[in-house]
Amino acid sequence: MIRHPRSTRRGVLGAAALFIATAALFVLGGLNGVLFGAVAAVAWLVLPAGFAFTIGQAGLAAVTTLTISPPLIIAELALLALLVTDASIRLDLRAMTIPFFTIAVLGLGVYAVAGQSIIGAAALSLAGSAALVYTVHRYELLTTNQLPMEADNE
Amino acid sequence: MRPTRRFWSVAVLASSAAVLAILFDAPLLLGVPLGLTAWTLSHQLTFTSTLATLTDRNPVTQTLTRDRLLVDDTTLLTIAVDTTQDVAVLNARLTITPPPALTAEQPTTYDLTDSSESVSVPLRVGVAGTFTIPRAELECTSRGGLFQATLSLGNECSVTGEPRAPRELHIGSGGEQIAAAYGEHDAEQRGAGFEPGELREYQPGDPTSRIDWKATARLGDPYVREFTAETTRQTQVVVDARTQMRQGPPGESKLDYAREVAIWLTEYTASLDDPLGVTLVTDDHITTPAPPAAGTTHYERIRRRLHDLATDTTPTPDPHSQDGMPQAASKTDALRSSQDAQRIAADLRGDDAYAQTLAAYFEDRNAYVEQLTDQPLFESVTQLLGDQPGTSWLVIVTDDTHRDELLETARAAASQTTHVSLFLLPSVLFSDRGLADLEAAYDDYTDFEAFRQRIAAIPNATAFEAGPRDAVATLLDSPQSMEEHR
Repeated sequence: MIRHPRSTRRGVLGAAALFIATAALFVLGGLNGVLFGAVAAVAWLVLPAGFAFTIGQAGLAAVTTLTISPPLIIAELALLALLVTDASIRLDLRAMTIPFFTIAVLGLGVYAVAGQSIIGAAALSLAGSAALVYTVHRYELLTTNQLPMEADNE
Repeated sequence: MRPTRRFWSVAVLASSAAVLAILFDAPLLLGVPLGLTAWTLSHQLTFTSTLATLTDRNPVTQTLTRDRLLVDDTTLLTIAVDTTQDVAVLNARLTITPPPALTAEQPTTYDLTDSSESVSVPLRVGVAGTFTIPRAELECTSRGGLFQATLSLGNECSVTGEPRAPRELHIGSGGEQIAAAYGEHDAEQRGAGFEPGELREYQPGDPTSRIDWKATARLGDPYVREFTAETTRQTQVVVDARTQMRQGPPGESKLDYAREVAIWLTEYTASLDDPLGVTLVTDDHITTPAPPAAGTTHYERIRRRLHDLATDTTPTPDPHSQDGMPQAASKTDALRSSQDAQRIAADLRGDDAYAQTLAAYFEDRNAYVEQLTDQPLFESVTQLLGDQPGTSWLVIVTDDTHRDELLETARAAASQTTHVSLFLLPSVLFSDRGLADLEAAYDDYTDFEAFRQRIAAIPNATAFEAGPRDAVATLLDSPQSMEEHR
């Protein structure tokens, strides 16, 4: 059981990111975009930031298509900022840059594949995500001396 | 690192978005799994960094107030956690996992909320042995609640539980431990026998058949060879099992130490293959003598009987105690004996009214001894010696509570043919007050020593003190003892 979930703590930067994302959604989808922005705001207030991001991203998918445009880029960056400003994440440069840079690379790959096969792109995004999470898990075992010393057995 | 339910809900959300992206052919929905993965990785890396710092710093320290204690005693396990910075943000929960032999008398799981926390848990040792308390486990939850991890931090502690039984038996006199009280007994008979003994010069009157011709030829003068007679010594061990012998902590009462002495004597006698008998003296005058015999089976039966000697753990008030508390034997009791009574009566042969009044009470000089026949130990020993006149070594294991009875018993038993050894347990070493008042305890001990010397002065009698070695050492290390030795 999780105690004291701190992920519901909110900050001004998160509110600003949400406002910008809602504005971009309005530009892209009008009132429908604002509606998604409002639901994302409610989710941001009562749920962890990841859920607000998901609703905002679903709104983007609902009101527009994958066509590079300034409002879309602004909306994506604002939604990512919503995650970055999550108060439960320590503002550590390493903890920020590594995952977001890695995901950016993975995102480029998914974008490239999506033009040919949406199934391939979906599979790549899920498999890549799982591999990254597992890699960090192994790294954690290594740094906390929990890995069995396999070298000794060889 | 373990994923929590919240992690799995995020994973389901990401997977659902990927499925919807396929169903609706909406590639933008693939941004959901990618964004959530970035968010999750940030949490994971932050958490990993904190755990690595904790592992390096090891902010947990386990200490025990006592690492050696008796079974059923309690020691305090204190776990100090320096929770500055890292632990405070992890919603850490501390779990202590003592081995099954140790019973925690408080909860073993604590939420760490303060910046610095110390937890103390009393641990009771259930059985004897050495047990290792493993490192404390710190269960941490990441700030976003996505991951949990358990780290074993701190140091291991060992605790040794010792059985409640007499330990480090002291046997000696005047506080001095006797290294080897007895060797093989001397037959004190020389002459004809089987074992070759010493050579000595021929004396007129020696039978010529005993001349050692080889030695005579070698040395030039006539020599005879002595032979040592082989004997057996019939031994009787009398163990006082009366109420006052139950004084002392559970498992370390006078009776427990008396049993240890008796078992030690049994081993010694068995090593010489001497006939041995054991008699228990109880409050109701019922004595249960075991007729002297030798042989492995007989010795084993005696050992079992001594081991089965029941002890009541309820502290029993000393009959001489004024306040119901067990205490050392009364000093006034030790001042009178039958000989003392006779001496006083002789001194009263005067003309003054005081002497004439008191003399009437001393007319029957044997009355004092008759009173003693009501005492179980005296009665048992005299009856025993009457029934078994061949006893050459009588050992009495008792305490110093009934001093006059003990004195008279030793006088009655010691003779040319019977040597009496007394192993006395000083009551002061078993007092409920312990050795808290060291000065008073030392006074009681010197009084006991005077009594022991008085018994040792009886012809054909020896007296030893027996008891816990550490208590004797504490008394002898007391400032008063040091002062007297200067």
